[in-house]
Amino acid sequence: MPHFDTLATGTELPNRSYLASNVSLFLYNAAIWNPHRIHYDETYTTGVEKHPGIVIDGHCKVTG
Amino acid sequence: MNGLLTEEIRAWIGRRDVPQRVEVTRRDIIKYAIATEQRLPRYVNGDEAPPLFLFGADRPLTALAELGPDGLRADTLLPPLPLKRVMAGGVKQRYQRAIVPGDVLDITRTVSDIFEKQGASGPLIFVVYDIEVRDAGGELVMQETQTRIIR
Repeated sequence: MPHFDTLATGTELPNRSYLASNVSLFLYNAAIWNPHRIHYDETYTTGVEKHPGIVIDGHCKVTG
Repeated sequence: MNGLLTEEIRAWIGRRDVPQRVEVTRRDIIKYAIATEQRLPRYVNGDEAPPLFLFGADRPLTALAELGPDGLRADTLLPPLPLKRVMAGGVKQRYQRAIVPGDVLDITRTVSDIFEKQGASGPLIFVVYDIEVRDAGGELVMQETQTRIIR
């Protein structure tokens, strides 16, 4: 992992991967006070809003 | 153009919400840092808020009875539209400085644009919001442009 002070344009950064879980998703939406059911209620999410499953907030994928 | 946007709808451009006041605490920052799996000590210890911390921070705190069947409160800044399915569009945030515990922030959201486009599967309406965050001294802390897409 390169140190921030040694970074320069063109420095290749290592990949970092995340895997959202039901727990991290719940905590994230609790932290931002987001009660939208598509983030925790699977029956509602697939049945009413017709998503294939629980929806992961875009921010859980990009906040880093 | 499909002409979905009436004069009444376009008249919503320029409308703004009552400003929301947010008092930032170390505990709130730590919760956010844990949920978003931060690693930098200044975030994990709550000395400074991670990027995007202020996303949605202006969400009004309302009683459960005011939440709809989807769990959300009706948005006071979304005009009645001929299309109904609201999706998150882009978010662009420009920070002037870091957010730290003790900050008292006033967040003002304004409808800055409403326009329509023809998408591959039909017409789309875009509602754009300008969100401005100022500190207790009135200094601009963050400016956000947020887009919603309705289809």
